[in-house]
Amino acid sequence: MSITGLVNNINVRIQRSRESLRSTYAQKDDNTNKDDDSGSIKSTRSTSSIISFLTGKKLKHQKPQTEPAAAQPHPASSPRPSHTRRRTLSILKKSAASGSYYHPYTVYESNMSPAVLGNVEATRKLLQIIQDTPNGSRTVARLARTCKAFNEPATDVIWNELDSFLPLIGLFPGYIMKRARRPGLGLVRPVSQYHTPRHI
Amino acid sequence: MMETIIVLTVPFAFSSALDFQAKMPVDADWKDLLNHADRVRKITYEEGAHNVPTSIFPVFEGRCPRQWILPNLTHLVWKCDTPAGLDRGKIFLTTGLQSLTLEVGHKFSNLSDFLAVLSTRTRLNSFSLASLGPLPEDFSRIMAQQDLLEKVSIIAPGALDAKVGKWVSELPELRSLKLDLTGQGMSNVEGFFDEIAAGSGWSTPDSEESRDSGVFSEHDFTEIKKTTAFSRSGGDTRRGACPQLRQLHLTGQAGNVVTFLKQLAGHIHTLELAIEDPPEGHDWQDLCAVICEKLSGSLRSLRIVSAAPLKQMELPRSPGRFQDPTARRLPLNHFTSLPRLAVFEIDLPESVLFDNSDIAHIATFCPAIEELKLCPQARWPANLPPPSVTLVCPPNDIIVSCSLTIRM
Repeated sequence: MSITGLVNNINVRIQRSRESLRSTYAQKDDNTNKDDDSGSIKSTRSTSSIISFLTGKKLKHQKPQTEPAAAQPHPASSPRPSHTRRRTLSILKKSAASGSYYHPYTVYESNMSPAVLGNVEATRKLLQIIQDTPNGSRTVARLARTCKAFNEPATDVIWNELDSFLPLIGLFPGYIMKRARRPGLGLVRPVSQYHTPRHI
Repeated sequence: MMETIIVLTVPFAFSSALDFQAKMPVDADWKDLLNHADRVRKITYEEGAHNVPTSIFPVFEGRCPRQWILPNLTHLVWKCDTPAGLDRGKIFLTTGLQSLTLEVGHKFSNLSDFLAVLSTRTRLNSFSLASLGPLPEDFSRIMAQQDLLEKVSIIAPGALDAKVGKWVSELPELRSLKLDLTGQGMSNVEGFFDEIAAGSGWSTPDSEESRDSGVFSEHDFTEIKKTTAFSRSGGDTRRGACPQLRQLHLTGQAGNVVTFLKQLAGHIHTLELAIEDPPEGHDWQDLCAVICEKLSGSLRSLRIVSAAPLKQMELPRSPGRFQDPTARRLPLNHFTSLPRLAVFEIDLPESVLFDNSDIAHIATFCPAIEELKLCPQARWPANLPPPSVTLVCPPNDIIVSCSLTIRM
């Protein structure tokens, strides 16, 4: 087989794999009745659910709590319904009855308390502590860009204290403030009405 | 047309700014700025840095779509070199401002006007003023409206005026005070308390503290009179000034600090002193004595540092640094008893050498000591480790957390 034929073969296989993935995601979308960008990869959804779990806030692409449990992207991403808590308790009871100390990871995960980051004041304090560390402002700025749940509290902390007016002035559109190329040059005194256009 | 002229002149209104204004902002241009300005709680402006175009402040004042550009501002640090720079700060004196740190230079004739605007708009918790020029004559009258102040710092000529002292003493919420006593005479320091708690017989010519006896008015016997009064009354002529005060920071000669401390009520728990290095021997002895006499029941933290920190930087190059160590020893045995003192720090690198008796004495007069720092600028001999020290503190005979650095 020539090299060209080999490349074509590989391209065809890649194309088939993509179509297969698309059909799989489309099927999942139908099952979960999702109407947003359901083609996002699974890891992104998982990350979002973790962030949502930590902050106690609901992300936009998640379904409301009234929907079936199967539609929840993560059991811990929102306040657990009662049946989830019952299932967790049943798993714990089964583990205790069998004399085993092993608990599934989901049990530990669902037992983590989101209370600290769910509290606005505690979140602000935590972000301030992060900001006080070396390169802390940069870290908080990255957190602000991580997701919308972090954006507001992190941005508040970043803008809470300014060492200069420059960051504020920089928020004007670009055509308002322009960089002076030769700031050392300038008129001795401002132009007045006595100056003719020839002088200007 | 006027706008055009402004556009043309603005680039030349400052000499070394990085940015210049090319066009006046319209309402839509303010959207992002105002959105983030709501978040700002503390901001610092330093005119000497020349990094902010001064032309932006008239725009803030005249073109901003709302009254306050920083409506949630609570802390403002304003350092200006020119009266115009001081005036620019008025647009940030919002009603919610709680803390103002103001640093101005010489000859600010508009300082009084600025403070008047400040007092009409704000009720501060913290006020700090550092000025190279004198305070306005009506300073205490203007600031009388600021009755919620908890923290006051005034470093300016005229800060020890009797009216300022009266204003400070009448602040009901005052907890922290910082003053500079450098270069002042003893009469000036005592003058700070002249209008505080004037008691019976205070203003009569027969009074020991009266400035005017009516007989020798043409001569200044103030110093002699006060020294006499101090010796007869045990140095506590005006007991109980500023009883609400808890934290005190004084800068100046040890003698002036002693004079000031004698007038205060003994409720201070944090005392920070920046004195000359080295202090006079008798002044040091008086300082130790008055601290133990006046503040032994309340003092929990005592920090004594050099008033000239730059001098410390020259120490390693000083040729005579280790030549005569005994002459620079500052004994601690003048401290008699500080039973509640938990934090004790002395940083007088030019004058302090400690020996074993000092360490043992600290254990005696500071039974509650938790943190001890003696001369952090210590330099150890290259071939020997730092000395091992044991403090035995009754009643538990245990030091909770004692970090000790001494210079041998």
